[in-house]
Amino acid sequence: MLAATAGQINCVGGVNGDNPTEITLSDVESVTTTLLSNNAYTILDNIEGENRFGTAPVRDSYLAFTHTNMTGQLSNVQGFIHKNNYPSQSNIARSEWGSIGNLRFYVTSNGSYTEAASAAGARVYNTFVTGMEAYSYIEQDHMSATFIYRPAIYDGPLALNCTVGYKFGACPRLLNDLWLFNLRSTVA
Amino acid sequence: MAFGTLLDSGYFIADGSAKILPFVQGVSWIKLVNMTEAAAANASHGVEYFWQPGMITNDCLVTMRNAAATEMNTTTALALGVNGIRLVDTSIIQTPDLTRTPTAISNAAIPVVSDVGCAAAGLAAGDIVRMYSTLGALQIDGIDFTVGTVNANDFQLAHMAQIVAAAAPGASARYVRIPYDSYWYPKHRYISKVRAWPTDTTKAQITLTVTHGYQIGQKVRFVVPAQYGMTQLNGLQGTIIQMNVTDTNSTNTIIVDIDVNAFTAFTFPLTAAVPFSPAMVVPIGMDTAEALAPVPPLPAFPPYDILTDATKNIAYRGLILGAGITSPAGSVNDKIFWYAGTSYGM
Repeated sequence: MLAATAGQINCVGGVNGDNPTEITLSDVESVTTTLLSNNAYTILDNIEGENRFGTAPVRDSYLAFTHTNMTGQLSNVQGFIHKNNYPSQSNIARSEWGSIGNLRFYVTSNGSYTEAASAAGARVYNTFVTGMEAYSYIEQDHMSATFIYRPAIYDGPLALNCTVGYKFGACPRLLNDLWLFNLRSTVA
Repeated sequence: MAFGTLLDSGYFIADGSAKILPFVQGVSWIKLVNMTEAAAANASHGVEYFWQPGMITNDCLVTMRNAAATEMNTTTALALGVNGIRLVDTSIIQTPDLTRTPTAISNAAIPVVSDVGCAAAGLAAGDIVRMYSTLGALQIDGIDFTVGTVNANDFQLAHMAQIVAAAAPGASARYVRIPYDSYWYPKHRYISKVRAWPTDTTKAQITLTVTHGYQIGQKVRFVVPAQYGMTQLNGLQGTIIQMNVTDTNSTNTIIVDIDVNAFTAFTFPLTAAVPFSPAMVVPIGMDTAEALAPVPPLPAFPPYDILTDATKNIAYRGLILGAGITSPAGSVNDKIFWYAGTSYGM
């Protein structure tokens, strides 16, 4: 839903010669500035600096959801702070990879990408950068997730086949498109 | 029964383009009969078609009349070099299904892409194509375009603005066909042109690169990067009050209630501007008042559905039938019957 409807910002600060380019600090700052200018609230509070070796304070942040294939790219961005370098390790999700500027990145192998969509025909990764309450998931009455198992006795006179299935009803929805952008990038 | 479980049956009148038959639960076989061709006795035209999983993608069995139209022969779409039948699942990642090499892109009012044999390769009006690495016209790369008129050796980027010609796009240049559109509705679209609407210059006319599918009354927001010039439009939202009014070359347009007269002109970037972000329209909601009581004289009464902005997953699984005289979707005005089914084995 987000890939089809959210506004897009191409990464343009990289040097791989494609459009969009690989992600860079200037691209992170570009989408951050756009969200700030649109009065989007950050979602996560800052993490204060502490006197611990190898740590750095983390700014209050928007969330950025991306594909696991982007982890190497993120690690190469100037200013990247891996999550193990956060001053505090409390309330950090396993799916978090790190932070750059005012973005904290969460990765999943189910992350969004668009095949053959760059100017050179490369895969484009969609990183959804969101402020607070930018989009929502609306559950439908009487249509919460249901797991349905029917033993073979219901199949027919010979009771040959069991069936398993699930069903649910839900509606994703952008609440304010100004508070969410798709930061598109390729890999270097 | 002979084919297992019958799933569904029906018929359609061919319009000369590929036909999509959706089967939500999947399909194991399909048989089609072109009744128009069955009665016409045209030499070398197809009459019956059969497909089941295991056949090569875009292939199918073809039963056609011989060159003398005196008897029926059996062959395959692959052997004939035409489009047959292929499975499609729009809920998965889009994978281009046709890759071709352009030899030139013109500076006509509607840009024309030269490609010897593109029509024979299966490209048809209404398809969506995406260009890559077109030296001299890099600004159109990675952007989807609906195809306009297709000739034997060239085709139009139907809704694109005039560009500086790319006489020799280069050895790396290519384009692909995108087999199906994004499966969420409504969806964003890229902008190719913006101007004051000549009929009412206090309104803006926006041309979109791919058939938009919007409805009157929908509210949209504009994302316009600096490279396009008209930065005053960036971030503004407008209500669609009319649509599909020709902009001289294209009818894939929307009219919104924004006065752009005082804005900097909208200009599609040139090749040297790459990389840049695309200018786009983002659907954001519905103007209920406009939908219920459209401003006269356009559009015609009755009012529109106030829920046409609702986000919907329109993904489907189904079969894409190729069009042509020996393909299952037939030729214009052919009446084609079909029945399809499932089986335990496949």
